[in-house]
Amino acid sequence: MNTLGSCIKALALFSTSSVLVIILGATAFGQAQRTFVAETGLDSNPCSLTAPCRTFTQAISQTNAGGEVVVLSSAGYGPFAINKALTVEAPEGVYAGITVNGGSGDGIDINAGPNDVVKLRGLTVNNVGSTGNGVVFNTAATVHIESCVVNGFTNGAGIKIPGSGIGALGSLLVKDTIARNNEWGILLGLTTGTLRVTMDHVRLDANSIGLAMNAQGTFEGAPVTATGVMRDSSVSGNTGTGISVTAGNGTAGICALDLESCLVTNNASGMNLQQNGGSATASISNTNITNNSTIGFSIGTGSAIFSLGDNTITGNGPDTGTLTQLAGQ
Amino acid sequence: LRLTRLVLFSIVVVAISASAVFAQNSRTFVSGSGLDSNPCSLAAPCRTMTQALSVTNAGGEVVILSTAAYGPFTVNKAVTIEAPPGIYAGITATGGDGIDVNANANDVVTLRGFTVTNLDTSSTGIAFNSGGTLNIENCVVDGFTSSTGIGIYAPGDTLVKDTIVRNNGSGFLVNPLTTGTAVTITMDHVRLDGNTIGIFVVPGDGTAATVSAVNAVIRNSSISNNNIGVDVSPQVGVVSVGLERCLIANNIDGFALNTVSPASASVSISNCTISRNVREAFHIGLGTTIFSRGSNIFIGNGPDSSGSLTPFPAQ
Repeated sequence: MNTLGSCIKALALFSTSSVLVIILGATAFGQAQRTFVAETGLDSNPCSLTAPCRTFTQAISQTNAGGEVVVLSSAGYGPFAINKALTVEAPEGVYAGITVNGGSGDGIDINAGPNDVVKLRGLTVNNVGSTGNGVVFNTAATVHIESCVVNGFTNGAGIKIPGSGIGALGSLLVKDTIARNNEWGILLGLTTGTLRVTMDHVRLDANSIGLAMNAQGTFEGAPVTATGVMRDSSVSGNTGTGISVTAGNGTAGICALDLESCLVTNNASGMNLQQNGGSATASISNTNITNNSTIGFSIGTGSAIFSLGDNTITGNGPDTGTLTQLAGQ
Repeated sequence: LRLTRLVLFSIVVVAISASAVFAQNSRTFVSGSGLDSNPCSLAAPCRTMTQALSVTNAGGEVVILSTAAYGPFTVNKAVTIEAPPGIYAGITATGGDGIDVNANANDVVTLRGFTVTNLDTSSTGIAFNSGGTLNIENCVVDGFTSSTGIGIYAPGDTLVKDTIVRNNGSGFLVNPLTTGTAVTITMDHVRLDGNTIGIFVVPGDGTAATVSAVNAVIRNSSISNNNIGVDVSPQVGVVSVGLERCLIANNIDGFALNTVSPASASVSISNCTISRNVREAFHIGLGTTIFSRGSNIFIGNGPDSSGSLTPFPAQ
């Protein structure tokens, strides 16, 4: 009797577990708010904590809009695209590598909707012989790039906005991030909309060009506009120009950049501002522009650099143009 | 008889050891593979914060051992809850708040290393409902788009450091629902970016509760890409907000200041960058003042600023 009872119990338990497994399985393979990838994961898994997936692409497809993909272990995870509001995050202590091996593809393509907010955190994007870019902001409302490293895109940009995907008010926020050894550290070439860029604790070092911003054309009757603010950041050791701010290109366009407590040092050229039919301006405060071998700053006709009068500018090649003094308030 | 005594003895032993193990500890642990039937020890961690908190002494710590989601929880005593670097501890609010702090008046609560996210409920990521001091360190609070990232709903002291608050309705809200003397806020290296309102200080709004003063100091922080960067609109109390070396940029409106009598409000700024705020740098409304030390840069803001800065010399 006892034995029979145990058997029945075991059977019942077994059935219950099977049902549970089936239910859990069904739930897990639907969309989840939070999914996981790991070096030992399998893309046939539900991307759960206990059964993680191997690739971001599979995990993203299993994640709700507005959800998160979390990296559990150090590994390479391959290039991917994001087509919805999403966070992709590797915690500190976990190396999540995205390597672009040859070809012309990008590391991470952001192709999200016009109201979507995308967040990348803790990723290392590396290039081995491709002609693509590291992180490309094609379309989205806002992109946050935090604690990332983008390296080696010597024929492309570390972080890029290619042009026409920005709407009435797009935002790019880059924080605690390094872009090095690229053709462009950050390349923002705006042909539509209004873009607001905030850079805080960013290192755009040892690229050909550290930061290049351009806005040209009109959008809904107004000039295409890109405003950037950079704080506590370094744009140093770039073999060409540290910072290039250009606008117009024969049409309209407003491009502006404010530097607070930044280093623009040891580049060939420090800062270069040019406009042709638009407005290209910059402001500098508490900033060092030093030891740029060819030129410290070059201010083209109709452009301006406003100086708060508290900057260190020395040891550069000859400058072109004159700073415009701006009183502190 | 002997058998019975042995059984009884075993039961007593088990009972004693169980009570010993499950008693209060100064440090407890949770893990993604833990079980709430465990004693929350390093060797046998629990699964949920709620269980770990229930077996942790006041003044003790709960430490997170592995990356996982841990679910919303409430803190009702002095305690430190910490995910060390390298461990992702996710808290997703699915109907209520992410983390509720309901401690006693003199309790110090410290939250460290959490990622608090939201399924778009009308709740708050981290809610300070009662307590003495709340420390929020190395956290991310994200996605409370129709509500609030960090909400201060009671008098007391809050310190926020090295924390990112993004993509919320109000990033940081001060609106005490219980009457008391003062709210103090200290922020250092905080990013309140991409919210509808970065900082929203509105004591007395929609509540009869009063607070005598709100004193906030914010340093080395970014309040950018919001619709409104800093909104100070008290209906009670004397509000003072000091900003040093902050970035208030790329918002639609930088500062929006207003009061309802008898409240008053002042903001002081030094070494700040206030730039590229699309519509206006500031609106200095009824009963409000912006004291400027003369060391701030204002550039590229929209034309609609109203009122003027009040100079405040360095000493």
